Amino acid sequence: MIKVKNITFSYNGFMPIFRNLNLDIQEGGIYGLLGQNGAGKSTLLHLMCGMLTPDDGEIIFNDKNVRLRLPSTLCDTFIVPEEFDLPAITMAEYCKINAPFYPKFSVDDLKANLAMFDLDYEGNLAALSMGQKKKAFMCFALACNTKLLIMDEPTNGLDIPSKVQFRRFIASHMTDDRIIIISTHQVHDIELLLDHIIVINGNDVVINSTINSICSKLNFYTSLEPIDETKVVFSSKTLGGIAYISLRNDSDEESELNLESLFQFCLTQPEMVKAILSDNKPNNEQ
Amino acid sequence: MNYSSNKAIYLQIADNICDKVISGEFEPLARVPSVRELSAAYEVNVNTVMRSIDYLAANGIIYNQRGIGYFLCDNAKEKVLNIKRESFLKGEIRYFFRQIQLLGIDGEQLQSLYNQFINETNNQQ
Amino acid sequence: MDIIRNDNFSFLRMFMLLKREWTANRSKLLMQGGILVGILAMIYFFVIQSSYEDDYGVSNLDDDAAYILVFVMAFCANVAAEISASLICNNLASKSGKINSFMSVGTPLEKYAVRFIIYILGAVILLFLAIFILDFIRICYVSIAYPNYDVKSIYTVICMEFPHDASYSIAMFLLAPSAFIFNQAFFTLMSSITPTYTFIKGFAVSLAIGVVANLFFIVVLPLFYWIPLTKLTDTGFCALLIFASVMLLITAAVFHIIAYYKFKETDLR
Repeated sequence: MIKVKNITFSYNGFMPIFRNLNLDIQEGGIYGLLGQNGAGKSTLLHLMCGMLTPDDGEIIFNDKNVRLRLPSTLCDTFIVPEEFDLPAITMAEYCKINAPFYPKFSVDDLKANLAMFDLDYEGNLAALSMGQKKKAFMCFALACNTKLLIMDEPTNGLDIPSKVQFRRFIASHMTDDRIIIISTHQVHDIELLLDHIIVINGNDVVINSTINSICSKLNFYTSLEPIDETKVVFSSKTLGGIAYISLRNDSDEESELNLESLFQFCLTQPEMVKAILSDNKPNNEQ
Repeated sequence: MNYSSNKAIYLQIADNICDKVISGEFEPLARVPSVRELSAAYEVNVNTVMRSIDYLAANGIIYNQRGIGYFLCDNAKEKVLNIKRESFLKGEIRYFFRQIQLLGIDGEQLQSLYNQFINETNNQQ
Repeated sequence: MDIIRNDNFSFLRMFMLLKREWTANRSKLLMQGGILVGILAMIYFFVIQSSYEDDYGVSNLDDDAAYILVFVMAFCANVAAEISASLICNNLASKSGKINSFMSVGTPLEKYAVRFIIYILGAVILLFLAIFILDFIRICYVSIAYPNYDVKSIYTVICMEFPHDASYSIAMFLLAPSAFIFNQAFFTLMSSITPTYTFIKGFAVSLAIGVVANLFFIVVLPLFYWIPLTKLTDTGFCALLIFASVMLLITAAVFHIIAYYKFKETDLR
């Protein structure tokens, strides 16, 4: 479990990115970290890895403060950043020098992962295109079987077939004792993969819930004509008509989450979203 | 697989599996792919696939053999056709009839068009 | 895998990190080392070409080249060590480099030690090996091609050909190495403070300090009561040299420690 405790952080001392942020993340799920550009998604992820020092507060993972950058924490954490460099060696060599640092690493997993992306174990990493490099690095990342896996905008720079490969790849790697956090501003790329959503906006966490609990509290539907209903809390014009979000009765059939709609809702009325979803206790879910 | 925004994702997946049962891709008594494999194939979260599985099991199309996995029922194909027939007769057929009515096609014309269609498909085979 | 999960310093893990750093940067390090040795070789070649002449009838000529090379190589070794030290924190110059460093599994001391071994110790070893081999080649070549010269190695020149008083020995064998270590440490510190364009910035800073120090010692101090160097006894002069050496070494040690802490406290900002 990751405990973000009272984190205050700013890059230059003037504009705080986070102020007294609190967040708990449990094992056994794929978390989507959503937010506008500049909201602080990468910042939060970097803080979780211990790469940034908070001005106040601490982040605990595996009972250790991540900022200490202890080997015991690092060997159970892996981040696939938005930009990274790979040395000009083969994947086999890369594996040989890096795998020993990750106790749960599995070569068989790595080879299976590479096969899913049509990549070569003996191929030189420098010869790969940007998208292929990303895929190769992701293959290695997942083969390390770390408890915490973070991916910062993983679908950036991937063409559409690669995004399909990516979704298949992530879908087949969920386990109960792992935390996978994927940050994105391209909601449609990953929305079907997620089971937890974290939305950050305006220095704070607006949503930290499972999709199931959100769908148990809210209805999402689209209608061609305007609907006047007292339970509607949000509406927005989309290409398919008008998207509505309304409060759900227990007797209503559950609808499919419209993540883009929900995200818009968070941006315009964060306090109302928090109030509606606030009695949700992620610890008790499932 | 392209998902539409009208129907719940898990139902769309269940439908797709049902289509495969009808087409024979999934044979009776055959083993259903694991939840992991299905979630990868459909590019969705494991929990979504689980809901599809639960739906199919509740409707008697698949059954769970503990410790081994899910298997297609012997009469899966009939069950699926029954469900589809029920759904068609409850909803889609009314839409079709409404169209017929609007376009002014009467029952006799409908019957002869249908007979024509049957002859054509028989000749193709 | 208790080596990996151990939070204390581990030599084994440090060597794993060293192997990783070497393998990942093999070609770059070989190229940097190659350029270094190449430049030294070119200087050697130039000095040899201009120093030795066929001189018929005259034998046992003084090996002037060796004397020149002592000073030239001392200067080059200093500059090379400084450039190498400037690169010690070069992996922290880019965001991706920082991420790679922070997320690699090891204690900060192990990670720093790896960079230290390559860019501080490794550079010195490479330098002295290169100079030794180049000088050896020079001796062999000159013995054969110009037998009329009394060819000597640089080492012989240092040990035997300058006046043998105490102050010389101290200057050569204590002060000069101390200054070398100090120069290297200064640029190590500069690298930890500013990993980009370190050498240029370090050079500028040392130039500025040098100008100020010169002004102080030559212009300001003599205005007040100060013992001119010439009035010092030999013992006094030696003591001064030893004092200077010790101060240089202590400062170098302090620089290295500060550099390590700057490395450890670096952030992704």
